[in-house]
Amino acid sequence: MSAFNPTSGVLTASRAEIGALAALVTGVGHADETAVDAMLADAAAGSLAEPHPRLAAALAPLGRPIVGVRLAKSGYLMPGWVGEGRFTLHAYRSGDDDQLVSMPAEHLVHFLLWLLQIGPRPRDPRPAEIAVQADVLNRAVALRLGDRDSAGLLPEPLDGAIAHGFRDWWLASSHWPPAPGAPGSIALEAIDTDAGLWSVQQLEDGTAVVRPVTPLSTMLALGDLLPDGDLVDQGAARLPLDSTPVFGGPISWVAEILG
Amino acid sequence: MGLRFDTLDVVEPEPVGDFYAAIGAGRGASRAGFSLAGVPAEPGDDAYGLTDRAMSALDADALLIDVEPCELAGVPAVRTLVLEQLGGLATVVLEQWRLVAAGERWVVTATADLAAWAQLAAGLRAVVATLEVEA
Repeated sequence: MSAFNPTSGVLTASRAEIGALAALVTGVGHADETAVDAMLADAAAGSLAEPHPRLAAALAPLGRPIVGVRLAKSGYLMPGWVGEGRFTLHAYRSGDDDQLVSMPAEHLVHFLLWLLQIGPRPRDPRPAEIAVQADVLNRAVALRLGDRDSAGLLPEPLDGAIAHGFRDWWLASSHWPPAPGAPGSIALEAIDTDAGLWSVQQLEDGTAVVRPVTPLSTMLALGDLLPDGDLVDQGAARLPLDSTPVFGGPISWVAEILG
Repeated sequence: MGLRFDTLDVVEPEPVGDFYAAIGAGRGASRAGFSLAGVPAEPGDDAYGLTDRAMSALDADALLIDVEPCELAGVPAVRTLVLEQLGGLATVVLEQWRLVAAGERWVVTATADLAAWAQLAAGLRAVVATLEVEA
């Protein structure tokens, strides 16, 4: 059962239905237009050809995305799009009641800080960095995401922080058509614990470097997900189709470790 | 009771000078700046109590990002960092220090658009650090 809030512009529907809508509007994939139209009609949200004005605003970034956002949280990846001055996210919930939420693009950081529950953390001294095997770190994170014991896998104090004070793991990335010589993407990975936030830098040799970070530095880093104008190819009509996110889903290594 | 702080040529009473050049004319939805407010203290007031009361009254669009005990003007203070969404217009950072000194409650505020915060925060904090309060 789909629903549409004409005040907030939030569309609530199943994961497959919102995925089909995203595939059609982004132009990336194929989907049953008749079924999507039926879902929109059921929600009183108009149709693909004539969506409700608030839904049309939410879909604008999907139709002409300049930045593609991938937000992995709690073991699931969610796709998002920035374009036409707005940010829209396919927010994963239970699967039957996923939501398409949209807001002005400049609200992206505020929204992510709220969603990721970034706030004050303890300031107890922590090592400047801890190098671990990435697969072992992933195993510890996955076990905790599954509410299982991870004690003993990692060096202290990281082991205790994850085993006994794990809050969440998240990875946020964004891609854009880069200006000449400019980077075209950024990715931020973090583990949130009662002892504080930790950034994760994945190296090509299979090592992960874990560093303590503050809520402030995390806030500033999340701001970089929205690139400055001089980083973006101003001549690009949109993010290329092959870089445009459409579908999310379970994070593969989390699902594999949890069996 | 006396009060003094050094602008360090970072902030100016009028939007001119290096600070204005740094933020750029017309950039951002809010004007970056620095303010200081004092009211008579009541018995038992301290920086922690002032902060607790202020943070418990944050509006729904405000996010408390960081809290840190510190020292300012030679007395215990609490620094907070709040992200405030001003309607649909702007996302603004408010970094504030609360302290009790010379019989007054003080709230020192540094503020800027989120997009400009990384560029301006160090200069604003340097100005705040020069605060002196004398009875």
